[in-house]
Amino acid sequence: MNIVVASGKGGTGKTSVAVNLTAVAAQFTLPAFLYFVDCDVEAPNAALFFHPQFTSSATVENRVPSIDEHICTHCGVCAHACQFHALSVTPQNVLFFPELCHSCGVCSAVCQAGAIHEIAHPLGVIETGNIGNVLFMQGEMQIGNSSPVAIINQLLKELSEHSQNTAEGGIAIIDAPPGVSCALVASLQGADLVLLVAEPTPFGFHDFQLTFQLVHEEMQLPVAVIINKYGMGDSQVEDFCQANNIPIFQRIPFSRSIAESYARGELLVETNAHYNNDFKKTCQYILAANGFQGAYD
Amino acid sequence: MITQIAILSGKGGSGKTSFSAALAPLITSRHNLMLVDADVDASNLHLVISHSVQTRTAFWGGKKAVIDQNLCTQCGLCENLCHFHAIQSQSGEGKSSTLFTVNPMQCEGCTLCALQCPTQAIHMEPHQDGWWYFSQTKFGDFFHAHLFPGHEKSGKLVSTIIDQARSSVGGDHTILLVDGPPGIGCPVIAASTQSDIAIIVTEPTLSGIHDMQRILDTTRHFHIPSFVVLNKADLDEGNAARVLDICNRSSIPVLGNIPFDETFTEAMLHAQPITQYAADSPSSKAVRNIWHNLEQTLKSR
Repeated sequence: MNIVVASGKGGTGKTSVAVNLTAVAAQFTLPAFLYFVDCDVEAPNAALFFHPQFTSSATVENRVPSIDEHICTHCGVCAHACQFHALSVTPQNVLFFPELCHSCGVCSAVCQAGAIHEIAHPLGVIETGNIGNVLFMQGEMQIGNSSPVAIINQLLKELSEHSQNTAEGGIAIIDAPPGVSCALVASLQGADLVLLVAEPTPFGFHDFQLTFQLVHEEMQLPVAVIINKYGMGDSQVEDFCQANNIPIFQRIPFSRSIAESYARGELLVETNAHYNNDFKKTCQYILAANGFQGAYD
Repeated sequence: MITQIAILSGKGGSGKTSFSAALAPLITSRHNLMLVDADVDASNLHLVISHSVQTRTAFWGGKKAVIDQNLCTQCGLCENLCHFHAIQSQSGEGKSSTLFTVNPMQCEGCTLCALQCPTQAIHMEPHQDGWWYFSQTKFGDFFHAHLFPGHEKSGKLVSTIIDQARSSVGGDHTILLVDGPPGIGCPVIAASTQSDIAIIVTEPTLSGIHDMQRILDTTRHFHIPSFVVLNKADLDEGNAARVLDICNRSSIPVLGNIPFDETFTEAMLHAQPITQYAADSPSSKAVRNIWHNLEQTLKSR
């Protein structure tokens, strides 16, 4: 079961919710292996709360063209065919911009001279480690690279392979990146439930609607909402949820002391019994919504 | 002549848009100002800057492959070739045993399938990925956009509106203020590369500090001089000191601090920049101080 914690708007509390939910879930006797996957590969933060001991690290690469200037006739067909402006050909040489390359294979396919072969280009790393009984996975994009999508795809592929190899399958809590574009879409592949963390402000409501449109209407994924910083703004998010029958699993109050605790990298569920109970209830709702019964307290 | 300033953060929710909006009335009192909201898939600046939309233009980001079923011989070559798993096959009825279709959400418009199809059954169609808007505001012209949820080409849309803004600037010196997106990827790079300076809005939290370092590494990689503004500065003293320490060690000037202030949300609820809504609040005073430092910096460049 993949539970993706998303928001659209940055800073609403995706990572806070994801890490606290995982910390509480780890206290349950679960019918499956528990995973945490940080898909916010441009700026991964979950490790700051969990301090995992990383036991493996692997580079994620894509394939990019390498042009043999001795064979190249500088005809320019590759640059013309490239839809992403990653190649520029002059009478003397070929300029290649790896940050723009989408690894589509068109340039080597159209080269008449056979001057292009593919080489590996690093995009970032995937690191894996343990926090107690939770397997923690994060991706981190290399500085200067433009797209996080390939790293997110690889993360989810490794999650799927690992959970298929465990006898009991897996429950994964996936921390999605902000935005409503291709990085979020990549993180939502294989999602069974999307927890939308919304901030009850005009900015928060605006972005929440866009994200809901993508997740529920276009991608047809089940959605539940957690309203964070509840009480800080207005009721538009809540009213929208009531009007559209979207379940609200939790309301986390707007509180300076919660913000201060977050600033220090603390897990709210470890410092406050009241919030521990709230997150436990959310965990129970999630497990019940996905047909897991009875094997937890 | 243009001075382009990109407001970035790395971390989402640190206050880029609220800060950009707060600067607008201050800048425009002494300079020509043009505003761009480069957070194209979750744009918020238009919610606090009163504006009158003059034009709406369709954004055609890229192309998507379309398979003509009348010409398709179901050879499956396209499905094998596609690097993005965008071509799916399913069992069909009638004359064809398998139906090949393109999933537009996965298709990146590279044209490999169209080029290689043995019966030329695949063609590329332009794909609308959003809209961009040109508006007038009392602070100056304003460009913002709406990328359709889930669509790609956010970087290209950012470049489009920045290029539009730059090409519409008249002869006098203009400050082009770009409210950037979170993260460090394609749309952030597009928002930064023509910028003269970047202002990184950060917060004194472990996540904020971590992401500040990532965005500073990014602006350094692209040779964009950077400055820092510490928002919600009094949230944690220890972390605030760490931010200053990191900036000092990296010779990144800190333009100023803004306190953790619920007045920002009140201003947002009233659809106004804080420097208009509550001009005498501690946060507005802090932003004015930051603007003073920024203006001095721009003069000395």
